[in-house]
Amino acid sequence: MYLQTLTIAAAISIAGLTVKFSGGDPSTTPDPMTTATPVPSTETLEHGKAMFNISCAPCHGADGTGNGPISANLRSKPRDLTKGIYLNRSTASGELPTDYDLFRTITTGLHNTAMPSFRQMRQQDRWAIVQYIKTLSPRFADSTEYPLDVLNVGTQVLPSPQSLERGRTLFLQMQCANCHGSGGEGNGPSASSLVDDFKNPIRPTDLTNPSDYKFSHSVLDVFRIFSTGLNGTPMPSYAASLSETDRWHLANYVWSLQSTDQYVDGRNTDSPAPKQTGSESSDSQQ
Amino acid sequence: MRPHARILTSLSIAVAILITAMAVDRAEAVPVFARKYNTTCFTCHTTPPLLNDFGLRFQANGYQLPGTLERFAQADQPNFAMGVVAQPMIFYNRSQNNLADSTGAVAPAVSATSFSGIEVGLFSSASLGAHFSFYTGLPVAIGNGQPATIDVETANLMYTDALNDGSGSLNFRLGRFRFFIPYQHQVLLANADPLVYSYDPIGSIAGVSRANTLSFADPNFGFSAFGMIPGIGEGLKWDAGISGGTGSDIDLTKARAFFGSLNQTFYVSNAPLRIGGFIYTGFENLTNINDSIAGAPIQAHNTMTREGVNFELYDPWTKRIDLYSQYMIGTDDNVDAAGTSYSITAGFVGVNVIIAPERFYIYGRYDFNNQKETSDNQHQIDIGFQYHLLPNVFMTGVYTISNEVATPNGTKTVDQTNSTAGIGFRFGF
Repeated sequence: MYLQTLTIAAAISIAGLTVKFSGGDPSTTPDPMTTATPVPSTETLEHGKAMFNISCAPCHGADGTGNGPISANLRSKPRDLTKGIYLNRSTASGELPTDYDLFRTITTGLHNTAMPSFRQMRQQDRWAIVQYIKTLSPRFADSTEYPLDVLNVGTQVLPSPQSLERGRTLFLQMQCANCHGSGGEGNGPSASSLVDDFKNPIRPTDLTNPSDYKFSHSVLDVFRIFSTGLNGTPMPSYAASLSETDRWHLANYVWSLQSTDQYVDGRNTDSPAPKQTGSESSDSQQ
Repeated sequence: MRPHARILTSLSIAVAILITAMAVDRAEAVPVFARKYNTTCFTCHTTPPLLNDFGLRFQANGYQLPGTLERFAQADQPNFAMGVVAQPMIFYNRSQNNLADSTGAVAPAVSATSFSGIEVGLFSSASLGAHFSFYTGLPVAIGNGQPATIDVETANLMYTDALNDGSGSLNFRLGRFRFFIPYQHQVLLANADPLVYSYDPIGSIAGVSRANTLSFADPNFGFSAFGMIPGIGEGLKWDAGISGGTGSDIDLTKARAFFGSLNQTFYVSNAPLRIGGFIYTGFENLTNINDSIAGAPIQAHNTMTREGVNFELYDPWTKRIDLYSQYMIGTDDNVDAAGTSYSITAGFVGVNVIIAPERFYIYGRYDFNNQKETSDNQHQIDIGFQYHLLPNVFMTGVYTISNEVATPNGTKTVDQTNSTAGIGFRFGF
């Protein structure tokens, strides 16, 4: 029963990733995959709580408030799990994460922060923690939070000089440089004064440094962030203000910043430009 | 250069370095375990080597993340970790013998500036699959005109997580290791070891040697079971084992000791409160060549015991102030052919303070060690700081002042004051 519940939860969450997300359009067809998952068994929650107390409580606190024993020594404070506000999501800005989003964060950790990767923890233990974490915030039990509006990545635009040039233009137009700096090094004019929703000082990611990306392992992850935003931080969602294609252009440009053969204003600084393989047209007029 | 001028010069250099260090912008560096687990040093350390709650659990779980079992190989993350810690420091020492000679005169103080050499610690630790892990520590001393020396301080193999639940509740260890005695080694920030940890009544008696050395704070050869049980209260750390002493020539008929410790953690507003106790008791055979009878050295049999209690409290409001203390009593019976017993009451109280998270820390500790039979009373105060230039590169400074007065049979035989100021760097890779 316990494993069955976890398996169902996993299947629901993973399947939820494929559901259409149209920039907050409520006309999207409701799908049971984006609704609240079935109430887990008491056994699962007890197991999740035990694992949480072993692995998570030192930072997040036994009560999940983010005020754990070692939180006072961390510059980036642990997340207050009672608020139900999460960075790493595949859902629309402001929404709750899917179960798989939580599972993914536990599995990969947040690189270059105090949150390690728990990929060596047994899957059933990670899923049990996911279920327990959801009991810490009343948002997860609120039926008005569902269905979740889960991102559809659409058709990926492959990198090309044109895509990167368009991405650079968007980077400047959308004021990304205010926080991340014109070179993407995380040193923009506002960088030193940023705080999150919990009033904790935070710093923007150095987009040129691969180790500074907290949970982006591919350009798809960067696209996801532009589409969902990072709840609880000043990083907004561009789902409403940029088309899907432009978000891909922006993601391609940002992802290129960490490479030594960077594209700057559409020019490859180190090597000949590759042949264009993706969408050639900018849809800035869309 | 006059002593006070040297102090001023040293302090000026220290202040200049400190100001320079504060101007250095933050950069990132990734030591071994941090690299392996995609995290920062501060996941496990308040400031190295001081372990935080997560680090204590990581250690108890056989150098695996708490709650995990490394049951499968990681293609892109090595399970093997090897690191180097170096700590070059400059010290200024001043020693004052306050004991007057027959004319009533007191000798002038002796002072000297010295370079500590580069103390390099090589360590390697890793999990070897689901249950086996190891730890080795090899201190290397280089400098001061002496040949470089290398020592195997610790080397042990662990069978971890015997309950197979990722909790680290039950583990076994074989080899040379330190028993868990708060607050020593990885759980003590102050540079100097507590006085009580270096107390050794036998070593101070000329002509007495032993079959093996029982020293409760040094790495022992032996076997132990240990772990951290989160389900009891809010975390019970335990350790129990048997040792043949600190030497590698283990012969349990000549020296053996039992060690046990329990430390219970509670949380007050998420701030740790720890209460614990420990005991280290056993015997060791001694040889006293000075009191030989008919040319044969006299054999003696020392029965020793160290037992103590410890207490630690983080302030529940900011969790930036860590107050800790330990009180201990010890006895050594029959340490010489005359059957003399020695006993001590000793302990310390200290504080670690987080000034700036992940950057600046200060600490202080007061030690006392009172030896009853010789009326030898020692007191020591350490204060110091650690300032991180990078997560794994930091400046460290310490000031230590100690005083010892011994009045056996009512006559003062020792009255000594020492002070030491040191500053240097510590690197961990």
